[in-house]
Amino acid sequence: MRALVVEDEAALRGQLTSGLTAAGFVVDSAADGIDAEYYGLEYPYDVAVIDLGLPRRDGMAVIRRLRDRGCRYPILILTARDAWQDKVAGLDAGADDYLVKPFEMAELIARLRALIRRTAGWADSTIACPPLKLDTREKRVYVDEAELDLTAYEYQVLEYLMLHAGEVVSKTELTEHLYPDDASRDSNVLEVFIRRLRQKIDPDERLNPIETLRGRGYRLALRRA
Amino acid sequence: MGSIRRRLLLSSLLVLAVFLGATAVALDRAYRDSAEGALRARLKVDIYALLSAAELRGGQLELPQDLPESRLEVPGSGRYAEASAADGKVLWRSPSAAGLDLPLVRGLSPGRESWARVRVDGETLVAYSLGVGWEVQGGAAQQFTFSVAARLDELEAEIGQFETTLMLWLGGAAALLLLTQMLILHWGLRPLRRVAQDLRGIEHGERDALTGAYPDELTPLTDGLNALLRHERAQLLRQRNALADLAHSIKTPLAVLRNAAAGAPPGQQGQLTDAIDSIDASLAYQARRAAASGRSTLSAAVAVAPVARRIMGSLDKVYADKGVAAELDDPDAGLFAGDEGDLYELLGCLLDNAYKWCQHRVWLGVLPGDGARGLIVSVEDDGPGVPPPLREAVLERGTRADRRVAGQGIGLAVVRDIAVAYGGRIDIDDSPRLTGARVTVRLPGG
Repeated sequence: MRALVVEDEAALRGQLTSGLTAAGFVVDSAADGIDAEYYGLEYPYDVAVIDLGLPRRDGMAVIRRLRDRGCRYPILILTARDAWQDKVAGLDAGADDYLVKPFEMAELIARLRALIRRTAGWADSTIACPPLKLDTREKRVYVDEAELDLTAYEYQVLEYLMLHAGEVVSKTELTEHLYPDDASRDSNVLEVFIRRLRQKIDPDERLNPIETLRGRGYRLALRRA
Repeated sequence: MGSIRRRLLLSSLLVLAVFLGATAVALDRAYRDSAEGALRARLKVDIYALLSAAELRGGQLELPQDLPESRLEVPGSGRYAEASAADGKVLWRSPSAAGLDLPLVRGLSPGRESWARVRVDGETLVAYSLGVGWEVQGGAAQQFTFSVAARLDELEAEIGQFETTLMLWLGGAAALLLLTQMLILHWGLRPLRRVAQDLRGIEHGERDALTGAYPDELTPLTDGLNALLRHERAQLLRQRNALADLAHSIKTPLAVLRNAAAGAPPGQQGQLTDAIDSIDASLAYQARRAAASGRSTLSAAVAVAPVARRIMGSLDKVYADKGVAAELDDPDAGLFAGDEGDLYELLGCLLDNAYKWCQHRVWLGVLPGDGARGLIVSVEDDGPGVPPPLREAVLERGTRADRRVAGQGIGLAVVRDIAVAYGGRIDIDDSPRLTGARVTVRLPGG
């Protein structure tokens, strides 16, 4: 999952970046409103964390601009101002959730995961395309009741595909959401991950859970529960 | 002190009554005098006519059958005449005076006259007597007294008619003057009424200053009020901004500390986190408390429903996973007589609390309270409710009935502080509508 972190205080920005990276997010960070807007419009994020009190351009204005330009990904406001009038104004501007400083990293990550899931249309923390089941909170994957042993990257590829079940996901889209920079974006590596995922989910080759659409990308063929 | 209008009306009514009363008396007197004067003149004319009609024949006074004043011939007509000798003996009496004993002045020496009012048969008469000396052949003079009397009620009737007419006209004039006075008052006091109306407009949030064109006498007052309003708003804004800046400058480092504490050795981690939480909680609590402005006399009233809907919309987003069905019941379009920020805080904390604890349903009721600007806000949910022993405690700062649901734990304490700042109170009981808790905030009228 690719996340944008916008926070002007360097120490907190560093903590956010490392905290989210440790949780499996690919993180871009910006220190002011102008940069935030550039990144926010330029890259296809899965979620954004935006501080309201930003230099050069106010967080509220950034959110409004992103929404006006058609960015649909969920945005969580990080704010020191906990007056309801400010929270409501932020949510009205287009944010989806807020967290008041100081906050717990675990809480932030849980909220971000919930936002991503909700945006993909899943109301629950468990997303299921039978026989596949994903517990996003625990990061566990089950086929029927048997748990699969996946690496972090494999899990992320599968989570992304399941969140977009039934849709065609291009290789570029996948790599953009899963890798921090262009250097490591090697489509061969992705193909290797997909092949391993297929073997782990469907060792008997009965399900064909992930289809390859030549020249277009991949699609999770299992239906949502 | 009553109203200016009443004072002016009362005083002008008094002036009008005195003035018109005096006018009526003066006019009445003048008319009465002139009417009586006219009657006297008529009586004199009658006497002279009688004198010229009278003849002295052989020492005997004679008067013709045909009298100059025809009323003297008709009995009981109210016009009487007599002639008497110097010794008081009545020599002649007009036919109209038949059977009446007229106590008239007699025996006047020639050239003397007398006016008198006499009562005969329950009637008042005005009587005029004139002494005359009649020269007889041989140079000797004989003395007579001629008298004419007229019934006064004749005069009274005339005066009465005049008085009726006078009263009619004066009454009409009084009514007209009063009406004019009221119109002048209405017109003259209109600027004051407009100021009052504009002030109500401010109270109802329709305007934020007195902006009309007011007369010169009122501009010092309206300018003063405007300055006061501006000052109050600016002060509140300054205070809020200062608090927001303070919160911002402290809370971001707190967030850094908090996250850094997660990397501390396990023994210290909890201590650090607790310390940071406690700093944060008291900061948030004091900031919110200080920001609660309390009722101000001229603050614009804020409509509750739009604010409630915005907050509900926001909370629907935040608690989207829960799929909360929130309902707003505001039959009278309630107004909050205070600062918009306070209303946001009040409803925000109440509703957030309800969304947090409910299963799926939240109900917000807005009702008019005691007094003109009183307000009752009730929030109910279908959650577990608050057991009676905990009800006091959850209103205390820093208490959470359950720590599992994230929150500042000062929500309801803030609501209580705002309610108290506005002279109101907060109560927790069971929801009659849903299965959970009901939190009711009562704000008194101004």
